[in-house]
Amino acid sequence: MAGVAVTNVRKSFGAEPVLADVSLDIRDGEFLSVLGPSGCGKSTLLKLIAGLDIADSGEIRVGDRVVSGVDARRHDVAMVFQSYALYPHLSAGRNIAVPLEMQRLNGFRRLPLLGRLLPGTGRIRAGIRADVEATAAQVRLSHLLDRLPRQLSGGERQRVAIARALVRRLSVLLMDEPLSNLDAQLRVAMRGELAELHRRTGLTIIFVTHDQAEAMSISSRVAVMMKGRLQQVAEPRVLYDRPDNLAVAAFVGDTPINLLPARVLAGGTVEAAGVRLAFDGVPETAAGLQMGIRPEWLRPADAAAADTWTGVVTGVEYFGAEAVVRLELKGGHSMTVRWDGDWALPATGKAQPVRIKPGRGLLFAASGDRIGEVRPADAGLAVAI
Amino acid sequence: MARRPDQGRGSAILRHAVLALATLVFCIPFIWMLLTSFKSRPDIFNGGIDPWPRQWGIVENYSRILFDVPMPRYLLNGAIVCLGIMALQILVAAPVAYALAKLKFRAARWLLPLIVVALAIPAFLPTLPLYLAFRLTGLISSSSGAFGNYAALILPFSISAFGVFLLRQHFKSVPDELVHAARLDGMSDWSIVWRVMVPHARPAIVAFCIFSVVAHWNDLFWPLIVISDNTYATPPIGIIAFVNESVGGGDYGPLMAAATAVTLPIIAVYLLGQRFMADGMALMGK
Repeated sequence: MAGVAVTNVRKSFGAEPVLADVSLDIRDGEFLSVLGPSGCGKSTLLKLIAGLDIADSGEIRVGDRVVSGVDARRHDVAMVFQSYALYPHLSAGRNIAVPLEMQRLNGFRRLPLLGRLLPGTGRIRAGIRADVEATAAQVRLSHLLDRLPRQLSGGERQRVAIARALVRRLSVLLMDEPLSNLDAQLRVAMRGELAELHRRTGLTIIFVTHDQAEAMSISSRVAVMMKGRLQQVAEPRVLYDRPDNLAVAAFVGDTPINLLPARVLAGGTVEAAGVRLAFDGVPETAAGLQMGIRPEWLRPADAAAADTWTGVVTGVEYFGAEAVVRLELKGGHSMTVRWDGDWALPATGKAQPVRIKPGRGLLFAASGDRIGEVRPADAGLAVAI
Repeated sequence: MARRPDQGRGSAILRHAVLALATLVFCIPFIWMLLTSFKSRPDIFNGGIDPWPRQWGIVENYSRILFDVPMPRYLLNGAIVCLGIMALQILVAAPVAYALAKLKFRAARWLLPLIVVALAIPAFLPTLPLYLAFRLTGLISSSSGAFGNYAALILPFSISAFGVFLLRQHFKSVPDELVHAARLDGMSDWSIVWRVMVPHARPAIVAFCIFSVVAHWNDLFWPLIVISDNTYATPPIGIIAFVNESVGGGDYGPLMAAATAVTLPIIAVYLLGQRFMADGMALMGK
């Protein structure tokens, strides 16, 4: 078993920095997602850990071995690729067997025909076959081992790729957007299977994805990466409730976070679009602030009051379990509110007051960093004048 | 756009008629060769232009090329030389093409243009330097044996710029992720060439093999220069020798039998390869 430690890794392609001083500790047995928009450097980071590319500087350890600069074959990590990368001319079973063949058979024993005549080859091959079958059973592939990749569905190919990564029983598994080629339903099912696989095997998994819902739902921790820098590494819940900066807050969450321009009043009170909230630790001189409010932190109020925002309903999207209501506030700010499916839906064009749940609300400085803490629930009710 | 069925049939008939005619035009010399090899000597000279043999000479003609002239030996030489060339060409071209297609190194930028330049050099141009090189190394001499002769016939063609170029184009289409996966599975570059790249480019390799075998089976120029001992003659040289020594002016029956014997393996190679090529192409479709 092994964790992975990335320390001060830099990588650039030409003059373009792809990874700028990335440090990341992945604990033994952890399921860590690296989340970010495409081109943020997350796949490059994975390649460096796998040894498929070489970092300009910095150190990478797998377990207690330094692997940066070492040949990929000796990194002892397995990887599942986005395109599955199966050998098209080999059956599923033989695809899974390749890592074992390369490991257990030497060059002579791998020779076609001739290799089989060497004493002992048969015994080794029987061992490989047994291990392949055991691994295939683990991912429910046993009945498909004779098929060629092109005769398999996307989900089945995916499982072959996973089996091939598991067969050597290495302790670190890297996954590069493994679910993005599957259709929506299968993706959700595979998510569950991966979580289950992780529970069963105790592998250290590093999972790269651009899909925040995927990252949030299966990982023990998520590392958000943007423009070659790690923005925040935290458990999904922390990432969602207390994002370190505006970029993370905006990237995480199905429905985008509401942002309102805010200014500091005396006594730690912050005003945004006419509503005042009490914050601690906000310098009175701060300017260019923005208040972040997740759509589900808002709920409808019966009547307009000092602690409510009132907006005209411009759109309602109903999904069954929930609805998304869009409001337009005075001053042209738009606001999205997540409505419970049970609540009466507001009519478009009507004025609708909404109130923030106690203890909720984020404040971002002009630099984008989160500052201040909203005052805890009992004391933090919106301050009426 | 849907076409009317009768219009389609009419143009199909026309198409096939044109193709059949063209086929016939190209086949007539071969048919003539085959039929002449069946005719007896008097029949050839007195029979007018009646294609069908009136007096059969199959046994007589073919026994002459089998027993009086070492035709089987020539065919064997041809097979050794062609297979040797083909094997070496693939052995050299596949790793080179892999390096050019998938590895990053500074020289790659000017190596590829060099290969394209090599493609443009006429085959006759390096003949003299090559000949001198072989003379200097002693592989060509009046006393050189099997090794020297076969080496002189095979080695100049062991590096094929065309082969490198063709395979490079096909290797480039192999997804990088597949190469990465192979590396993580524990493969060396050498293994990647033979276990990932070559199977992936199988149709191209089969096509290249056919091209190579046909070209060198029929090659007359280079063997004519380096062969000092007819024991190592390739089939075309064999036919020339045959013409010179026994036919003189007139023994066309055995000559055509020899020509037939030389042509048949080529046709066989093509038909065999064509089948594999079709298989390979079918593999390409997902």
